[in-house]
Amino acid sequence: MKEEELIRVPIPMNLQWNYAAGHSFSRFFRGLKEGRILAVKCPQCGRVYLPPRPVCGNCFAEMQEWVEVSRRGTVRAFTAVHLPFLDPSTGQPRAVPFGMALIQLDGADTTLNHYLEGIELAKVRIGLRVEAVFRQERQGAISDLVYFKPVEE
Amino acid sequence: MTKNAAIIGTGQTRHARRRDDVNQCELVNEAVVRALADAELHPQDIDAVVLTNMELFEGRALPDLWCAEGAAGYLKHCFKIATGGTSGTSGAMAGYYHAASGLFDTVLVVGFEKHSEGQTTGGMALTDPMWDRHVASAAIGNFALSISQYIAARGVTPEQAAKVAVKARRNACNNPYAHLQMPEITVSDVLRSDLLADPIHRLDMCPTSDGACALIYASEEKARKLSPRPAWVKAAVTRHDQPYIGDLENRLLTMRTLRDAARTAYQQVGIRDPLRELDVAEIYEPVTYAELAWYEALGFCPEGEAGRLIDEGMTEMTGLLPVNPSGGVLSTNPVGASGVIRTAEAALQIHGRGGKRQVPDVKTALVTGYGVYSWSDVMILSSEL
Amino acid sequence: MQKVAIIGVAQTKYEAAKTGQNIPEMVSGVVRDALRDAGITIQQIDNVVTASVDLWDGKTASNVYLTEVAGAVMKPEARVAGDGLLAASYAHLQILAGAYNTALVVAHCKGSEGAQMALTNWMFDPVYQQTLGLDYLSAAALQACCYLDTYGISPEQCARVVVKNRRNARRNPLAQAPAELTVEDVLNSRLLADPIHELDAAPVSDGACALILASEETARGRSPHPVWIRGVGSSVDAHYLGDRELADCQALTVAAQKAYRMAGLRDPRQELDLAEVSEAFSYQELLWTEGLGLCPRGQGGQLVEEGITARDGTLPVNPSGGMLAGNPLFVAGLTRLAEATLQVRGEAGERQIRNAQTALAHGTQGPGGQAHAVMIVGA
Repeated sequence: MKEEELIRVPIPMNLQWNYAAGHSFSRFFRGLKEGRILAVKCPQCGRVYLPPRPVCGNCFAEMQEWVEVSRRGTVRAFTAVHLPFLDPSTGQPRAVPFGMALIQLDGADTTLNHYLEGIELAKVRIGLRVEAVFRQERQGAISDLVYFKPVEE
Repeated sequence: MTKNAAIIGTGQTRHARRRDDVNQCELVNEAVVRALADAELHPQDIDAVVLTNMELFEGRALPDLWCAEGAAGYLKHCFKIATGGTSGTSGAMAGYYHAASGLFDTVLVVGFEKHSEGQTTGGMALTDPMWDRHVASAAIGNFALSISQYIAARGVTPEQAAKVAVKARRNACNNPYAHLQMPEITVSDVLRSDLLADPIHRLDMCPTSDGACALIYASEEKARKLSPRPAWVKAAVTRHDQPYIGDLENRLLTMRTLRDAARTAYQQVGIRDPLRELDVAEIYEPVTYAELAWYEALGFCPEGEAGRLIDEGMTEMTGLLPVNPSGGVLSTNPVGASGVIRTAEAALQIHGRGGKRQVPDVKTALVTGYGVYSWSDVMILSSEL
Repeated sequence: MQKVAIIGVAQTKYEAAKTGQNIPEMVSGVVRDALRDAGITIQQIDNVVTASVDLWDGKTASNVYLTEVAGAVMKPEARVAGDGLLAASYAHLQILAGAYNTALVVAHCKGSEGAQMALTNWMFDPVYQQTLGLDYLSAAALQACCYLDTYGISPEQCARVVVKNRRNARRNPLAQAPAELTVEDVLNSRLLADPIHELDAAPVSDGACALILASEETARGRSPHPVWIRGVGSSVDAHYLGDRELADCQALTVAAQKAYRMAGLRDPRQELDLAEVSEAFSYQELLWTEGLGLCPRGQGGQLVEEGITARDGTLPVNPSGGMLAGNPLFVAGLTRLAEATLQVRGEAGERQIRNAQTALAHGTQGPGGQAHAVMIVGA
């Protein structure tokens, strides 16, 4: 018997959303524009959160206290990504391999996931000291933080 | 104390990379027809239907509206639950609550996903638009980050992780529905497969599959009438956690959701030594290293001894506690169905209908679900009430 | 059977676009208000059920970013991917099953952030109806056409629903679009899809609604104003429009009969003091009242014409202003339940219906009311 021809129906998804950044992220983005990294602090447990958000999940406490944290921090986890990944900010696959890290900025209790550049990937160790690299023309957006690079101290 | 209900039938589709021969509704129906046959019931015997999948992976809004008919849901209570990777176990628990509520006697749960129809990576990348979406490296990169911490603390080796992959894909050969069946796979095959994100190789990672799986629950009275050996739900515990990966300190090491869910469930059932008291476990392991981390969180071994557990073959089919006789998520992964498959496979073991993958004389079975960065579900099924 | 009470209620103000708040911020406020209204703390909440749809949020697993603001960290939570009334009914049956004593139910949607009507096209099956270009509006227009034609319902009668509901909304401080309109205003507004005019359609809306449910044991003595869930029912119709009897709404009849049976209502028209129904389009209020058995088939038009469903009629429908005065999709059903609860409590402010003892809340999802849920609450 001849194999049946099976058809697929392509439907492109061209949708756009306009997300409200809200109070927390708006303040965070305004900080980035000034070259500052702003975090929120829980009034109960004292945990300093990045990215900022309205409520500490562990205490259910509303967070209103803002603290500036350092541009410098420590790598708490690292990987070299070899899988081509579609970079949402460019729509293009990011060149592989690239470094990804969880970075704990001095003064923050959570870690940030971000790109790590400026070092041979095989040489990265947990505990590496790094510093944020900002975009030249800052726009008050998450993309103002371009990547993190090792720093001598 | 929750009222009693049991799983009295299960059914799943053939899982594959691509199932162009069926649309989503037909895929759902394939699993449902098998579950009804397994329970010896007719569509009209079903009182309520719970569907579960990750709607955006296929670019759908409310796909339950389309798939209800395939799930015997026409003119019945029928809706969809979704909680990321734990969708399937959320659905499995919802079926239990429905059958225990007194409102419905017989309840059908169907998990389904057709990854081939959408962009799973794109779908996953639709994370928080303010932060994660700009610095994401997809699920694999995020796992790799957490694994780097796990390895640093525990010293597990790539070989030990690879043994998990080998176990899963060999077990899958006994499961006629499994997507990846690799009878010849070796540790060195895993280590030589493409490096995706250090230290994760392609064969360390779960696939994306097209597939569906259905469960039929019955209330206590009905289950006793309808089933010779019902799989009773003895515990169902859910724990969700904070939204960002960076909120969770050493997530694979701490895994506070899974630890707390397992401890609570064991307490409810009176289990003190899970490695010996459980007869089989179907756990949601998205990546080999996670299975090792889950061994510790589930109390199968003391902290730091997961590597030894796999080295000694304790979780193999012939070991003290077979883990994932089905081949697990590493062999079959239609995300919205994966948790339902874990539950169905555990129930199947209790029903004694596991065929070549049957573990002898199963009385107590563990099910886990995993999703988002660290969300966990734990269920315990038993042949005894 | 275990009894379950609604012990806390909160709603945001419904607005065309809450541009200053992101979704977690919007939900945070309403969760805190509901807890305050119930007089309990987040620690006393055993279980959280959320309602949202990923495509509307433009996020995969749209409940992820709610765990903190909904107090779900290290707790059970489940997202119902659909209307909030289904989320409430899920939380209700979990308590009936004995799994939990309390639950927070919260639904949210920001219709303003995506292209809402385009998004409704993604509810249709992709192989047939979606590619034909159907959306909520065109499906509703086809249904309205069938309904008007089958039963001789007039566009004027539909317009009267708009006039009534937008006027009712003037007494509701949370309503998005209170207005004093005439039938002519509605009929003269822009034609969207014949016979639906712009004012016949619910506006795009942003907002959230939260309820606290509790078992009888927990509610008794602790809550100053428990409102009891007396009956629930839900049902889904066929997906293809051509498979359905569009001028009737069989799924709603099935859902309502089930809820009435459970609540022990024999003559809902007499025994209900008010109904809050989800009318995304004006004709739907008429069709839904028929499906709910509040009048014989085809007589929904007379119901509004004779003033029976007006706020001073014998069976007020949508004293809150309903969806026509602005409620987001997926939140709407839970809003109906919140409003029904406030009425039974006697705390509905200026929109209070005198001596409301028994109220009906209705939610729907899917094109042309494919699926329906009904809940009966009482004092």
